[in-house]
Amino acid sequence: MTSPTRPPAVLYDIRYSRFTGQLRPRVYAVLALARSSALGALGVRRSTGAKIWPFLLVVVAYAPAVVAVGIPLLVPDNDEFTEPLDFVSYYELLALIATPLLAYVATTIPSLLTRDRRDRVLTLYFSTALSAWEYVLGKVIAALLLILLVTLGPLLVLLIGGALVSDSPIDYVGDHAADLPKVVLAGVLLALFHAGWGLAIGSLTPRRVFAVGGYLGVMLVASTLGGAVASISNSDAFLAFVLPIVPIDMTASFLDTPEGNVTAPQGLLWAVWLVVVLGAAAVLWRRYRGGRES
Amino acid sequence: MTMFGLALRALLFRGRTLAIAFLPLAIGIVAVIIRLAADPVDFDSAYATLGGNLLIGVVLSLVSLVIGVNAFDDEREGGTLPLLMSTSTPRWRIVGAKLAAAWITTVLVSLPAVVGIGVLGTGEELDTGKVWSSLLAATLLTAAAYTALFVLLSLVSGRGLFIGLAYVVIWEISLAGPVTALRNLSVAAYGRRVLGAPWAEDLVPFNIADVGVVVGGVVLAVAAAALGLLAVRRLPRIDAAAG
Repeated sequence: MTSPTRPPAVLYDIRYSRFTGQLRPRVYAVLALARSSALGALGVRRSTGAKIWPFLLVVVAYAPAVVAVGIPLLVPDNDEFTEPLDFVSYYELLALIATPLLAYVATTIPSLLTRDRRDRVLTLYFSTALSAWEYVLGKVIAALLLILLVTLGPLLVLLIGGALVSDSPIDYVGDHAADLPKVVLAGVLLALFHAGWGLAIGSLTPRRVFAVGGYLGVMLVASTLGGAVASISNSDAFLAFVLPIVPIDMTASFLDTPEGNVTAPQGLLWAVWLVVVLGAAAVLWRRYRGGRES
Repeated sequence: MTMFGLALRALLFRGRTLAIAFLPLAIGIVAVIIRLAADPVDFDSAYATLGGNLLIGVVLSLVSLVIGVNAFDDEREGGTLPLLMSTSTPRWRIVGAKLAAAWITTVLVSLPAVVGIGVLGTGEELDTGKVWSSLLAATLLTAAAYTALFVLLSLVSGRGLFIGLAYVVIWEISLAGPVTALRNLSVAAYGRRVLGAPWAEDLVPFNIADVGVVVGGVVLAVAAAALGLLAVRRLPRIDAAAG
């Protein structure tokens, strides 16, 4: 017996039909993947619990820069700290955020790749407008954006904040105009280094816990071993194996550093950086060259 | 096959577990190279750094985190946790088997570093027997406490990895290690207390908990047992069907 209030049955015509919407270049697919991956890693459009950890680390990374910008505002007549850079230099800021950066990269970057491997959706991706290379490019862009958020972002807060709290913002901008390309380069060096290593580790396993452990293990063990061997051998060259500070020490060649700061030779630092970045590119090429789940 | 055998096979005999062993292996090799090539006056600081800071502070905590969280997460992600829970096996045996398997896997994975650091330690002017016994006791007890903690975390929350990572990076490495007042609340500080047995208390070359060697060991054993009991109590309450 049918209810009198039930709406009448309807037949929908769902035969194959061509897409009639606006066709966009393939680069839009790459950018859409990068955007959704980056937002997913930050926990956006996910549960509250998924947002807490990444955003907590973002706040920790910005805290020193915000404090440095705030001090001249809170203590205006202080002769010692007239501008944020008197409180913390760009180099010192990068050194301060090194530890939260490790935790942030460990938990956001490898999972850009592990989740898709775990859920076995790579084949699905590659059957769409995305090729394997475009997929990897989208993930690399997402990783770079995520890391720049906590490396370049605080540096820009320090630079722009200095202008905003200055008595003469125009003079401040003129005096520090040359800083902009330097801080951008510093942020990009850090981002490429950590994105490369994080994605390479993430491409090797479908299990996030192993990727996180692998990334942190190599970074922390190399740090302690490099520092210990440098101390025993009295050779600064071994400091080039303290991986978390390699890209930070590279910025010592173009950013002001604290007096007495000791780094490995710049040539060696750049060599280690290149080995890590190119090695990561080679691992990604090896893992995704066939365009299939391996 | 027993529950323990199954758990051990799932954790130990996997390629990814063996991949983790490369880090302790590298540490062991570097320790032996230092023992062979460095000046004996540097052995003291090298043993303190590699044993106290690296092995106890970093390697055991990270390996335990990965293996401990994975013990039940593997079942969760594989969808076999409801099956495991539906068996007539008592909960304490399930948790006990997983805990023991995770503990043994952690110790075995870390063993190359332990052996290398032990070889380095015997180059010092310390009693060889005390060096080996303190190193092994510190490794076994610290791994037990960490493993029980991370297995419990994986049962308490689906985000056990993040909570455990926050604990290791923020608490153990950044706060409890350097800050004297917090050392008595750190697993690694008690592990270092046991590792520091060959030295007189005021000469131990790394940060330790403010207790005696025996008390340090007892605290780690009691912590491991208590955390294991909490995990047993927690298992029946978890939502096995939830991913």
